[in-house]
Amino acid sequence: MMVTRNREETVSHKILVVDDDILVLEALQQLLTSSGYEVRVATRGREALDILDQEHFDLLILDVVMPKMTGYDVCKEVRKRDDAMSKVNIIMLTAKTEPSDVRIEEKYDCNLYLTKPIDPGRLKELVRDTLEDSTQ
Amino acid sequence: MAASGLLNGVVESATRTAIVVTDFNGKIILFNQGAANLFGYTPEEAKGRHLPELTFSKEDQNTPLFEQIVDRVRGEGWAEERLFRRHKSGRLFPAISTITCLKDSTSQFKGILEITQDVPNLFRLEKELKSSKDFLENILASSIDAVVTTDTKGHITYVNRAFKELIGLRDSQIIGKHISIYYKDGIDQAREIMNKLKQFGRIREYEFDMRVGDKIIPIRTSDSLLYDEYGEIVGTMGVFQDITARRKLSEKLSATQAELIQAVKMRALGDLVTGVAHEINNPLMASDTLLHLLEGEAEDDPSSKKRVGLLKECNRRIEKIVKKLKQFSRHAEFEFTAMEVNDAVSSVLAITQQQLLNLGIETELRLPENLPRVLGDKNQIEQVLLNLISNALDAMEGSSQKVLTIQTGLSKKSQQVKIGVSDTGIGMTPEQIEQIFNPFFTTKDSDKSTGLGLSISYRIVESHRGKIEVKSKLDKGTTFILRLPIYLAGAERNDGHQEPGGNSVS
Repeated sequence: MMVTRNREETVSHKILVVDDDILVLEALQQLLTSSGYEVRVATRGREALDILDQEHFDLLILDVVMPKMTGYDVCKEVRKRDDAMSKVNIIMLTAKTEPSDVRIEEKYDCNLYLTKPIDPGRLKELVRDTLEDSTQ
Repeated sequence: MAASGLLNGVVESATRTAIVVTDFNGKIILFNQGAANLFGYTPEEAKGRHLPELTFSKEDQNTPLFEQIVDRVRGEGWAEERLFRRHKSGRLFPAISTITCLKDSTSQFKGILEITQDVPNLFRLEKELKSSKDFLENILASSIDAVVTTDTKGHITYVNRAFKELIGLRDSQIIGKHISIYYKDGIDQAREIMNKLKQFGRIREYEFDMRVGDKIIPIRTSDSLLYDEYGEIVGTMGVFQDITARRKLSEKLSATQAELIQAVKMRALGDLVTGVAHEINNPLMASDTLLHLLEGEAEDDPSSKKRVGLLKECNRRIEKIVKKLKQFSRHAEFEFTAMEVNDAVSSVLAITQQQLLNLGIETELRLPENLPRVLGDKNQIEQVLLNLISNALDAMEGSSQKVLTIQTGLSKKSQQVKIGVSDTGIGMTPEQIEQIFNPFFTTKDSDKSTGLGLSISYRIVESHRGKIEVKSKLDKGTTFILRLPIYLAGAERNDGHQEPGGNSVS
């Protein structure tokens, strides 16, 4: 468990990153931590839901394709909650190309649906925008 | 005399055999009990009467038959006759007679002896035999397969109607000819068949080419030896089947099969590629992210910064390949509309015009007007054309004469519109042609090509129910031909939204 606090920001946002690929997880954690966010990670959907029971987060980054519980499943479970966490920001990340007949964001009730690989600079911007929008 | 008495006894006791002696005019001298039984006259009634008048049918009486028999007997010593004879009651019955000359002790002709036997079943048996023979001949004649028999030397002894039809000759022109004249390989082949027959007794489904005039007919034959009642080989029998139609069908089938295998192969590769693309994207993203962080840290170190830059370039190359792979196995929708192929050609040329000029390539266009429209996705067809043109440009890089020809037209049966893209480039070997539509096959440097362009083109054309063909000659050039089905009003494809990319084999 790694929790890092960016000293430059007075209020640090907390992000939970969920991906079954350790390399992706490690890289994203480093990227977001370097931007001053407090980051926690999980490799399974069930594990992520357990963490959500304990802690408050400002953003979830969910990988779509994971064993047993997919990112979609996690997203649905989160939205079903009756506490404040049900409204948490969610960014979905997928390595799979989906037919774009419906806007996935609407279908799964998430803020963004992004396709891997995404430019890290761009990802940082999108994370920042998502968090700023929700705090306004 | 004792002997003469004995002879009389024999003649008289032969009650089932008619023994009659007449003079040369037919006047009856002797008429035994057997004759009495057979013809219905007593010996007393018959003696002195004229034999033909008494026992011949009315028809035979009106001919010089008896005189002819007598002549033959005098000349040859004997004769055998099968005739309908007449009973006293007028009833006719079949009989066999042996007629010989009677001579006296000085060898003088004295008259003729006729020994006659009633053969009530003979004619019926003959009739049965004939009808059974007719029946068999009928079967042979009606057979669709050609039947031929030869003697042991190979001379044709019988052919049925189907054989005559196959050859196109009349019976009289075939019988007696040597079978080898119909074999493409002549006498050697006839010998080979005969040897096999002698070894195995029969040959099953042997295929050979038959020669009829200057025509070659593929034949499947089953042959066997013919034996007589003593088990001696008397000849051969062959059943010939014209397999021209079957062979054509089988050739067509193999071609279809090859196409099917190619299509299935491409689909399997498509599935594989989707999986690979997905697997690569994860580590690629991790790598991109870490490089992004390293780049920030190396801000003040130019050589590290350069290395990070190169690594990022590597990642972009990987990303490009994965993107192409995805395109190859795309599930994305195609938008089929009635479109003009000449429009697609023009749009693509507009994009490539400057490049063609820069490379000094002459463009020859043959785009006839009023071509029927095709049902297609214009963007996709343009992508295919762009790919073909780009390949053509690369192929002509070192050529002294650089001509790009684009030609459109109707197929022979007017069911497809063809688009030909030809170059005067380096061309390809047959081995290269065989692999050209396989993903990752390329003749170019890897920084120039992913080797996916043509496999993607293949998939696009396939999902249009079209075809893409290639003809090429080393150092002469290459021609790609696209064939797209023409648009028929009211026949819009309604499966266009399902999976025109066709990733599933259904």
